[in-house]
Amino acid sequence: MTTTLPHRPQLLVIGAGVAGGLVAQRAAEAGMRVTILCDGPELDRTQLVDRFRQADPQTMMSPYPVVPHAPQPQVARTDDYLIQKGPRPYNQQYIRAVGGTTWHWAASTWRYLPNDMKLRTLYGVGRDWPLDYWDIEPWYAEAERALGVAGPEDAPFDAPRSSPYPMPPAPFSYMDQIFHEELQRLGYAHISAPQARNNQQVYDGRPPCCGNANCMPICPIGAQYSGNMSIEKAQAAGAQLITDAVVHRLEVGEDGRITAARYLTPSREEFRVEADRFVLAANGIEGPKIMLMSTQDRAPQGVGNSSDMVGRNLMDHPGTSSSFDSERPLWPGRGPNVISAITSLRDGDFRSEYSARKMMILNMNPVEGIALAAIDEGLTGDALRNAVRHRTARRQVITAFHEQLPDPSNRMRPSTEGLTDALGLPRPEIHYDVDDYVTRAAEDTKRRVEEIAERFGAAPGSVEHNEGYLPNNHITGATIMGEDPRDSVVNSDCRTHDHPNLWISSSSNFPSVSSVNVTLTIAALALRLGEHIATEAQP
Amino acid sequence: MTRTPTLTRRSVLGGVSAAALLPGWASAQASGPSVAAFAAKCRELTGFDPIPRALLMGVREIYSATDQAALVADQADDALHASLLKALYTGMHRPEDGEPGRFAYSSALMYAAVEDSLNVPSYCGGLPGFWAEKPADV
Ligand SMILES: Cc1cc2nc3c(=O)[nH]c(=O)nc-3n(C[C@H](O)[C@H](O)[C@H](O)COP(=O)(O)OP(=O)(O)OC[C@H]3O[C@@H](n4cnc5c(N)ncnc54)[C@H](O)[C@@H]3O)c2cc1C
Ligand code: SF4
Repeated sequence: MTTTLPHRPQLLVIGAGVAGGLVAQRAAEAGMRVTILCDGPELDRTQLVDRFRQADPQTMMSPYPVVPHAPQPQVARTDDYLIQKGPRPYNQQYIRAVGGTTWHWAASTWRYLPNDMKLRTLYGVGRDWPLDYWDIEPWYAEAERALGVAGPEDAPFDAPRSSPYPMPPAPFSYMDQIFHEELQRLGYAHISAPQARNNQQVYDGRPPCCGNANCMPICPIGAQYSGNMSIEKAQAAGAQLITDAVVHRLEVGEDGRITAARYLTPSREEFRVEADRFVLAANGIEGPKIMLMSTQDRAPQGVGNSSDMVGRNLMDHPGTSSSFDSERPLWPGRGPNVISAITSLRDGDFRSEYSARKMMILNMNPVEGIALAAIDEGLTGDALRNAVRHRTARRQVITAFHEQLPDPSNRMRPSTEGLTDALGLPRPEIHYDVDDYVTRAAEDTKRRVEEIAERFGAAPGSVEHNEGYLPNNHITGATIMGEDPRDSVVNSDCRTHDHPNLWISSSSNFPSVSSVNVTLTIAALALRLGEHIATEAQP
Repeated sequence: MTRTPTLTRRSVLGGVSAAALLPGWASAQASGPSVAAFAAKCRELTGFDPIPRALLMGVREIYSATDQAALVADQADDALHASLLKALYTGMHRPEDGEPGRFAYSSALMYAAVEDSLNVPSYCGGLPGFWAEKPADV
């Protein structure tokens, strides 16, 4: 039996992360009656920190409760939920709870460069956005204020801006300072990374970051932004939040409008919520999966999918990670997890041949892996203690995000083999590969890291590179934006071509992934969308 | 260097279960070495003196009396040495045939090895912006 909820919101937001939270907040503050559905529970920061400290082992997911009705890809084994059909794994990771995945993030909040949105026109590859950078520039500024971003003015290869960052840039750690000197000598632009983290001041009621060095997996003091903060603001403005509501179906009416969303509770009771307008903000995998599960007479290929593009064009930033030991002690692990980045490879004519990149000096405490390795070598006593200390001070890690182009054959669909989760809903099945456009760039990245390592006195041949590509959780492309309804899912307003009252708020809309973290762009588009819906809803 | 174990009242009460205090219950071998002897071995193996009591008591719980006796008598194999060292350095026991288990976090010796320059993750490192200064060690 299905129960229809008695109240009918003007706007139903599906998903309670940053993408849903900002739309809901904007619309609720404009006076709309808003309901937010979230599949998972509310989380308590203190409990998350306790769980992290007691966890064995401590992974990116160890603070977060396992919620059987809203399964989350785990770090060690994402394949216990995501079905990897290869040839390469799409090992993305996300949190299904109020606040979403930004509970554990590095809070790196970059704008796209204007050229990131014109790949086809400028470099003859990928797709253009149906939007110009300057169309969304004011919304980037709004998003930076909403998330509380600290960043550098006029930094090379940081996007042009009409207003200053809300907070001055976070200071470089000692390690970053030394890298800065050497990288400049090698001709790189190396800048303070824009970050949604309070820099030596209170902002928006959040305390200043005091370098707990635990931004991933949980900031113990809430110095950095997380999506729950926007949800709380939306609630303060009158939005209603329903938790443990797993949306699995959207219903299409006679006129092509969405009439209701259906959700299951943990005990498999089914409810319907009717609303005037719907925003799907359930992340770049679960959102498109809901659309593809919603096959019905009026949407035989699923909701919003007359183009057959839903679930396709999956992108991420295929990542490299290279480590080496510097001659001098630099002590990575002091302060926030990522403070700086090499930006000079974010743009250039080379993009017609291979990927743009952002490279980062990782600032995470490496001591555990070093201690385990030293013990395995057979060291004991003072020799062990000294080796652990010596190596920890010198272990450098440089990571890189590589821009990947949209390819319709990289796709996610609800399991084609009937594999289901605890509620009986199909698990996401993913076909994914990384092409030569990225491979060429990744080879170049490795060569560059070796040159940098040499500069730091690393022994020849000692740089260790990861196998394959590392995931970076920037889940992009599966509801791709474009002007032509035949090969895209949403238009430049993030409205689905097929259903006039259904919008999508997610990085899944992005026609290009660029070389930077995607969440500030999600936030900018979410605020713009909230405003657009509130304006349209005005009598 | 191994010190001669001296059985103080405190170390007996702190390290041995109540059952072990019952007269005639077990031989020294079965109840394991004294806390003092075991602590001395841990100090020698880890390069740390002292070793936080919580950490020491944690490993006393984990390793059998026989394993502890073998360690103290220098009769442990490499795998047992490495297992004990990993537990003391990381606060986590990683048995070959079972699930790993954490018994300590911030007191783990790996953090003590670097504490003048790095804070234990999830604990505040100092005044906001402290990371811009030179680490103590540099
Ligand atoms: C380890 C890690 C580090 C990261 N670091 C950065 C960074 O430094 N900078 C950056 O820009 N990005 C970073 N990201 C990516 C960033 O977290 C995501 O881009 C961002 O969280 C996406 O926001 P979202 O609201 O679209 O999705 P999410 O944050 O994933 O939120 C989705 C919401 O939808 C809900 N939901 C899902 N399915 C359903 C359903 N069926 N019914 C109802 N509700 C549902 C979820 O519970 C959740 O509330 C990182 C990600 C990870 C994993
Ligand atoms: S460094 Fe610490 S205080 Fe600062 S954001 Fe990260 S976890 Fe929070």
